[in-house]
Amino acid sequence: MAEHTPDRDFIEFVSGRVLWLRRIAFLLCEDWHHADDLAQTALTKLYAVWPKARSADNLDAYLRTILVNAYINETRRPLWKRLVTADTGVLLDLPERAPDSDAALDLRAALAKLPPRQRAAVVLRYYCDLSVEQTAAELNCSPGTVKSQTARGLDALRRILQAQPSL
Amino acid sequence: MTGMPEDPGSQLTALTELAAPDTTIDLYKACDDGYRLRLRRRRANRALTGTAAVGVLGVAATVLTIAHSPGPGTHGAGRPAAGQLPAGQQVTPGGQQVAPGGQTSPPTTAGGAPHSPSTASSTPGPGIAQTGGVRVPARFGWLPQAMAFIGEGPSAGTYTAAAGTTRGKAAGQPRVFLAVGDTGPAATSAKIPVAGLGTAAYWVAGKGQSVVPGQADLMWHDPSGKWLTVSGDSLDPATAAATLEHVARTIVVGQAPLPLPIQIRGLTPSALGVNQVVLTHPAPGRTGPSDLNIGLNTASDGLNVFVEPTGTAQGPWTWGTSACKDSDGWNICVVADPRAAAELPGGVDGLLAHIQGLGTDPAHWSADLFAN
Repeated sequence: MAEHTPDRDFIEFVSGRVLWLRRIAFLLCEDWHHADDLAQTALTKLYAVWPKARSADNLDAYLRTILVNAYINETRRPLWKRLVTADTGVLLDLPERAPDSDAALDLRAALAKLPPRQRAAVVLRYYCDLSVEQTAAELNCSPGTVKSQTARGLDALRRILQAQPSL
Repeated sequence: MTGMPEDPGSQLTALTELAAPDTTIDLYKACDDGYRLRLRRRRANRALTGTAAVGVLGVAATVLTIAHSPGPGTHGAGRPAAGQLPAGQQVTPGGQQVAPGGQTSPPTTAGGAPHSPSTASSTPGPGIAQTGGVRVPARFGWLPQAMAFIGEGPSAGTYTAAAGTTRGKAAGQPRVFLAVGDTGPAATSAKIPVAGLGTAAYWVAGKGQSVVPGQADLMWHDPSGKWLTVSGDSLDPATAAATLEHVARTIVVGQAPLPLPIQIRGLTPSALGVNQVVLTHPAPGRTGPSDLNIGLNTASDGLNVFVEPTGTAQGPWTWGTSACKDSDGWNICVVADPRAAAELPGGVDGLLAHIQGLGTDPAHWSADLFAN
């Protein structure tokens, strides 16, 4: 195969969004290394369709949707289930703790216990600041489902956090 | 911590701001892998195209008729404008192309339902090169000394430029980017005001990100009504903020032609959509080769025109149909998806015959991509 020169407008578009994408991926999968893999997958898929995707109305939403789909699809794999079981509560990739890290780590552990679509709904609504309708579009479900998933997710987080001693 | 706080967003943001290991995300690997994925899908589409040859030929005949209709400066009815997907054709976030006839099944979510295309719809392109030639709304002024090449051009309603130390891949090498568009910072973006760049100028980071001058985007609203954005990659952290602010203050705003080293002669602009032009050339005061990549589209698919100095080995391409020639100092290649090639009068060779090199002296280049 001839050497391929990357489309420059793709590099320009994504170069300022890697951190943003990585953080969303981290909230979805609660592991930085796994987040890198998810983000890498999303960028690869975006580049595969870049000649036509570059004219999408909202490229940020487009890229985020690819990421969320990659995450949800991955959760159906048996390997992911094994990793989650093993990783829950094991927080090895944080070399330092910020001043408020205990609370954040509690939340991270609690997030890990949410079902994938509930977690995605919470992250999209409250971290990405999307409306119910926008979240529904990105998760390909109805606004009512988003409302119920979000409510259940937040309720579950509250219950988990109340029952959990500080790390 | 004993319960979920009132503002879950703040807690989630705090979670992402914990110390994290260095990222292993590799943009250039994503490009390489994505390109291979693109090729595989093209091969799969080609197989589908073969099974529907009769239908495609019918469409192609219609398109050729439209493309040859008189009406300079206007798009033929029923064909997409520059940058626009063909009617009824969309790309889903899952990455598959959905043809009007539904020949390609859309990807499904975990629940098995097809994706909503709502976030993937396309808009007509800006008509690049269709009126008044290829133009840019701003240019770099001062650049760090190491910047030897600039790649710039319009695409899909925006203008982007990238200055780098090398002409090709630049992984790990410092780069400076400029973008011009209509959209300013999002309401939810974190901002730090910047003095001396007009009435509204900020270091901007997306919601959930900390604003670090030099690492964030520098955005300002120009009196022309456009928002300009300067950002950097792999710059020295100690000087990145000052470097980018100086780059921003010396940007030259104003419509200007972007002269190109080739011209398409004898075809009306309405025969082809132009969705991207990227000209890479030496930075001011530097010498070196230039190259050009033009993205075009027919009614159903895309094609590219790659232009490199004569003597540069281009291809062979493992996708699509290609044809190359040397013309006045340039090696010009047309590479088209088979469906696009079928819609070109005379195929890729037919289009190539209409393309003329304009020599290697930029003084002889022209922003008029199309000419009689």
